[in-house]
Amino acid sequence: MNLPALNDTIVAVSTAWQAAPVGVIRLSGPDSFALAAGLGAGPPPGVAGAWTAARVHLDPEHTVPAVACWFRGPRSYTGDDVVELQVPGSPPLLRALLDKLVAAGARWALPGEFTARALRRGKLDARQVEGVLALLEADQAATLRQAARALCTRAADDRNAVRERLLDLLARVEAGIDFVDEEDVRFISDDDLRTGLDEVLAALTAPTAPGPRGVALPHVTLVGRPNAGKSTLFNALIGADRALVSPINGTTRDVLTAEFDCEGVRCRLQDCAGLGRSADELERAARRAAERAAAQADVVLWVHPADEAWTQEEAATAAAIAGRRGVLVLSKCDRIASRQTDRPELSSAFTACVVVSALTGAGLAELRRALAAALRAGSEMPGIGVDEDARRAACAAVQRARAADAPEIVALELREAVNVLATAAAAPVDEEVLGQIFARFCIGK
Amino acid sequence: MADPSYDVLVIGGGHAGAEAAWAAARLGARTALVTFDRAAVGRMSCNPAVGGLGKGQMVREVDALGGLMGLVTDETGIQFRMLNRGKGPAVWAPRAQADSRLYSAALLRRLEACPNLDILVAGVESLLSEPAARDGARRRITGVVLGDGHRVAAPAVVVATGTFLRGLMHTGTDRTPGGRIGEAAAGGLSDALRALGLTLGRLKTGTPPRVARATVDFTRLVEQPGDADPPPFSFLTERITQPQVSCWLTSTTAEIHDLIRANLDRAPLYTGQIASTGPRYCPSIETKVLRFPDKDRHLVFLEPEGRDSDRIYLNGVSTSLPRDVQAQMVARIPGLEHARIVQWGYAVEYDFVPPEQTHVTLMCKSVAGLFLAGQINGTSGYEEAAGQGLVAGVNAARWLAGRSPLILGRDQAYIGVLIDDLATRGVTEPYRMFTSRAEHRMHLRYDNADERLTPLGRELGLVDAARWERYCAKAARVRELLACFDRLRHEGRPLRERLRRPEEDDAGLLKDYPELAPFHAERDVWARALVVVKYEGYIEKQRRSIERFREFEDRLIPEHLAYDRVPHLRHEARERWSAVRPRSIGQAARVSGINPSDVTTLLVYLAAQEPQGV
Repeated sequence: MNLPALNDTIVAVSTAWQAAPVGVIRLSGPDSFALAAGLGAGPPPGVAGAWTAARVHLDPEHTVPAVACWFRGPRSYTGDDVVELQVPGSPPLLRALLDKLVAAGARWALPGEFTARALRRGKLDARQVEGVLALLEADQAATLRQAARALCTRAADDRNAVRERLLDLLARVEAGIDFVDEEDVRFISDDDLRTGLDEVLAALTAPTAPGPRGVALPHVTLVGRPNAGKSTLFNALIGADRALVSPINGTTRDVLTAEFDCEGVRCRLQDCAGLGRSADELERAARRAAERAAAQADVVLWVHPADEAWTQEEAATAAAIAGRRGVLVLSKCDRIASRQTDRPELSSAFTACVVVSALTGAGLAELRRALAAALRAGSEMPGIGVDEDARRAACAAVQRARAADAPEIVALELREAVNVLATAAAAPVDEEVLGQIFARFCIGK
Repeated sequence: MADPSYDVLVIGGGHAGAEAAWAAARLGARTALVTFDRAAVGRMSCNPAVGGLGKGQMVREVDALGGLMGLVTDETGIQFRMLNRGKGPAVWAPRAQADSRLYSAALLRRLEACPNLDILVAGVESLLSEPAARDGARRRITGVVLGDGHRVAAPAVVVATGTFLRGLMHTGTDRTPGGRIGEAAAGGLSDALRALGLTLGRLKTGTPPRVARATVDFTRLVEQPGDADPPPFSFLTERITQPQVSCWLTSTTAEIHDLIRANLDRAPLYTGQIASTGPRYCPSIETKVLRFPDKDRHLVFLEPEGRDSDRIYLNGVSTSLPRDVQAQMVARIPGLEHARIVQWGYAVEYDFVPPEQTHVTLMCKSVAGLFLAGQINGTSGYEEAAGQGLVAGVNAARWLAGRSPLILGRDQAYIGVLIDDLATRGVTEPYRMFTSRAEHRMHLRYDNADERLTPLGRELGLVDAARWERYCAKAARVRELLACFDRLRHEGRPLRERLRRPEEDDAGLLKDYPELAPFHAERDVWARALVVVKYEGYIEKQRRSIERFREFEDRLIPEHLAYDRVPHLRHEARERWSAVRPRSIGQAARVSGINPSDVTTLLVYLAAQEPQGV
């Protein structure tokens, strides 16, 4: 398991990840002053808790205005040295600044990590503990949601494939170290190792590289029976005809996804297409899809034709997942003569209920606002950037391994790469390595 | 007459028991070592070799802490090699063949000369205990009952019984109770451990046939000489002076593999006669043949059991096949056509105590004063046993004295990695050390074992004045040499930089800088300083990583924390932690099935339980 260190410098955007007048980047840890100063926000003033107005560098040509608040530990929120940078609240700008700080040595904070640090250093009242633990649990649920989702993405597959390949190479290098005097097998030649590392590097830097930004975006999933108008809504929301690539229902089981910007909140929209044909199968498939979506999505858009009745099963499933940031969308309201749509009883279980017509565009603006609100409600996006971080660290380690000639150094670097690409559930690396060695080579006197 | 009494009683005179008894006695505890047979102390029941990857480093660690294995190996070794010479010094590891008879005798001699230590020749039939509410245990050990019915009182008992607990040896369909060839099993002790509430498991290991040296045709074999002027194991040994012998190499043939395949219906491993798990890294020849059918030969190393011994150990063909098959197999190995088998190969099944039941101090969680060391904890290997023995002996003595336990960190010693793995993860096969198990391999080197552990050994009272002075003198010389590397120049740059070039060799260096010759003559000093220079960046990186996680290791968890009262903790984390009862946050994080959020939740909970303040 990769446990985050307790005494390094962590960074995160501590305001909601959306367009706003001001965005706050928070740094906590021994290097936070130096990192902020490196960005151009320094030097820190002598007085504790003081602020400075500065311009931080985005690149050599561009700077943006910023206000830096400097808190010297232990008199800070976390007890570490803390810097809060207030900059214009543009997500791309925040992202670019965070990338720079991470490149300079900061680590993306994990969910709840600032608060956990504060608490461990006695900065919070013991009475607040219950609340903090509950928050951690929620964060964990969010992280698990993300993990469940990550298991289903192409990116995660790629990442796992890369990790498997690295493990294989590591196992061979390790075997050459640990079983030097045993069987007469050659575990890996220098050429094969180089070729293997080049392949891994190519995979890590490819456009579909593991851990692209999208994995960390909040997921919005469209759920509902076929012909509920999900695909039309999908196109209407993203403003493109993406879903038309698969116009006939039931012809594909692919999940259509697209990134889009919803009222300043970037998210990934999913449309589950092709749910089945027979009524029974359809019910079951719909339920499965809904459940899967509920397990993975940050926001569920439950789409139901305004003029159609609910089956019992549908209603039960909808009620079960509604509490998870669900928005009820009553679609095709253009088919109803009256603008007065009956809102079903269970709509109260959802965070919002919107009546729309993708055809006429009615209610779409309201839907965007409701969706953005739901996304903001779960704003502190868990683990955003962590994947990207892992990819970069893995890449750097593999490059160092490629440059090294001593097997013990190659092993050291590969182990680091394998470690950063591991998921929380991964077995200890040494067990995985030994398992591969024993499975592959006849070893032992 | 009152029962005889000791402070620490050690059951078993193998490599774990010997170090345990030695360490406890050295710390001033009145100690008794109980063994079936005085002559069996320090017996090498498997191949007569000490060291190897990971293991060689552990022997150096035992030595750096004032233990016996390194000294006895240096004294009785008949072939020494430094493994991985072709790679960087961070993964070098010493290995030696010992004269098994001399080894045993030398170890016994040292134990007999040790003050505070008695050797009792007896079997232990049972353990004595009383109810207790101390250290979270349900019972407290009070002594043992010997085979003749006599009681010996002792408030601390170290069980180091190796493969003797209900040991059962298999050769073909023959089954013989016993822990080692020609020696009886210890039966009563298993029941005694079970009666104390411990759960027992069963493991298997095996050993190959031995042949008479005079009947081997060496002209058909490949000679494997040892290193010339090899570096010794012990930091106290200046040079290995005794003459060295060679090992020999041959291999199995396709014909032998066919023979084995034709007789699998009589192989206890495949007929169901042996059900327990053996080590993956030490498969029997029948397993090798079955699992790797495409290989038409497997190496066989002929290792003499002693300089004058007539016995040769056939390393690589461990087997429990019936005798007639063993005989045919050996007769088909090139060079062994006329070899006479003097001991048949066998597999042995034995009881072990799954080590999650033991603290990282090696004391049982449920029985105060009961320490377990060696194969009983599910390990294999003399070196693994010795490392645990030393820790158990130290901790038995310190526990009695009411002092804090010796717990070696994963960043401190392979012995620390070993015990942490045992107590945290348990075992599914006999556990053997590999360097790949250590996340801080660059730091856990053979050359710096003294730097890592001798000051600690001194503090504990295990390291005597002579060893300490030698250590301090050497450390000073290493500093001097490093200062030289900075002071001397090569092409205007510090010499240190030239040393980092991989192609640099000692001869060229000494030619250019004759003033380094005195340092070069002090082999340990030279080796250490060169490693420090060559790996500077990596050692520093590893040091930083160790620092980063030290807080987790230093952050202790109250021993009796009720995990079911920690709010918002996942059910699985609750169950796993309640079972393992980790000592530190670091250990808690290594328990299987735990994720980072669980650890954060626990940290936050613990912080809230403490008085506020920075």
